[in-house]
Amino acid sequence: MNFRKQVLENGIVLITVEIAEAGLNYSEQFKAFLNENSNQDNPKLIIDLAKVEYMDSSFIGALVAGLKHVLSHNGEMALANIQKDVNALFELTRLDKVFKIADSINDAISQLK
Amino acid sequence: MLMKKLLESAGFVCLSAEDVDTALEILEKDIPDLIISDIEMPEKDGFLFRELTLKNKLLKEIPFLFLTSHNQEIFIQRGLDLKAIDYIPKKIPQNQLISKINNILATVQEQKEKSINELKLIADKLNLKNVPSKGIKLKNFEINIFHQPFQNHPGGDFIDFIKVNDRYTFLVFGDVMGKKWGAWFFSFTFLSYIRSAIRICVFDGNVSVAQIMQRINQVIHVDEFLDDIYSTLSLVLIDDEEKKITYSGASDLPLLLYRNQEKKITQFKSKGLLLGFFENGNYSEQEVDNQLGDQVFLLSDGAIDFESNGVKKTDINFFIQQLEDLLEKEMSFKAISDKIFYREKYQVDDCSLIQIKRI
Repeated sequence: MNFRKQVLENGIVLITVEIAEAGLNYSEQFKAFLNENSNQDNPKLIIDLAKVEYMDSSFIGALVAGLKHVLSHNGEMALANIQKDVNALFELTRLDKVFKIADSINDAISQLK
Repeated sequence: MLMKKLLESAGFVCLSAEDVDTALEILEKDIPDLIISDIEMPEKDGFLFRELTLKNKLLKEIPFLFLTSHNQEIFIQRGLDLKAIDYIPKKIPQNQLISKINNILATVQEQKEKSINELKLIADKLNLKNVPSKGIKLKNFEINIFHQPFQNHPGGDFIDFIKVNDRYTFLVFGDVMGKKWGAWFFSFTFLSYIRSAIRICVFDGNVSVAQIMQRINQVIHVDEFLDDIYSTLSLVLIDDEEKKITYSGASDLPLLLYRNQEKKITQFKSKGLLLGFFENGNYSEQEVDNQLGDQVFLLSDGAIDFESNGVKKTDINFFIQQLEDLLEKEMSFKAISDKIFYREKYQVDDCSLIQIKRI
């Protein structure tokens, strides 16, 4: 599986992205996966990006669309374990101001409480 | 395994699997140019494998060949009914196998190019261009463009010049998130909004790039058609009379200023957020102080993406260093673009670079 879902004890959904190059081939599938897992009221999602070494604009677009979907259901979403290169791009393009960014899953959990 | 070795020795990159489930796992991660499958395999056979690939949006268009020792009509017909391109007998001579694969790949590529060219032709006939074919020259500034779409498909980068009068010219540079035709299609909607917002604000006597950016953001924010589609934007106003450049950005990469005297690049980072995501995008504007011979550069994210040893990377500092070195050698814009984007390593995404040179 390219994306793995795990429901944590506090009801937070942890989605792990299992691909190193997150690009066009996966973006639509990922967007659909995010939407499927955030259709309920007040969804809380953590996206674990530890394995993602490269992310293109299609995949970033899917993340942003996913965040908008989560916000429209009065939910919250955090990105955890972003690798250095990807994080640099997020900072350059101010996406770090759009998403909640966490250093670890525990940090993300505390940000979503 | 023998076939894998043979194909690799002919220059192909091959991934092999012992059974259908393993093959499907591999295909989740890598999309090949061609699938060659045995018919007889443990648990699931080749026909079922073909049926499964046909049900998968990402896999169904990949040319599929059956490798078999069966030459019975019934097997051949069953495979062809499943839209397999051909059968390869297991005892096929090596050179014939390689030729056959090369011919299939060449035909698929030709068909793709033909379709793309037909669409491009229609787009040209309708005068649908999201990037001008050449730059412009003003009294005190010259603007040059380098644009290379991803895999030669029109993409989501869009560029426009809006000359309001002899004094003011706007430079619009955006990047719709995504690639190829999907992003290309939406770039025109963004461009229409941006053009209208600029014209309306100018009619109202407003030439503040930050305020125009906010107006653009407001309309895009409420447009349901663009609900899931996002774009970055760099908006630059060139005042040809006062020799001033003013800049505002929405989730774009920093504007780069090369000061000719110091031979150094300075980054101008904007604070604005992705176009249309929030009602208020927090846009500000900066004046880019420039002297004769100075050069300003705007770039899309594709310009800083590259592939090294099979690994894709994003590195703006590497790009800046390269650009600075070339500018120090006083190279022309064409020579700089040729030098930086000369290899296929830059074919990771749409790739655009704009130069504004004070003359």
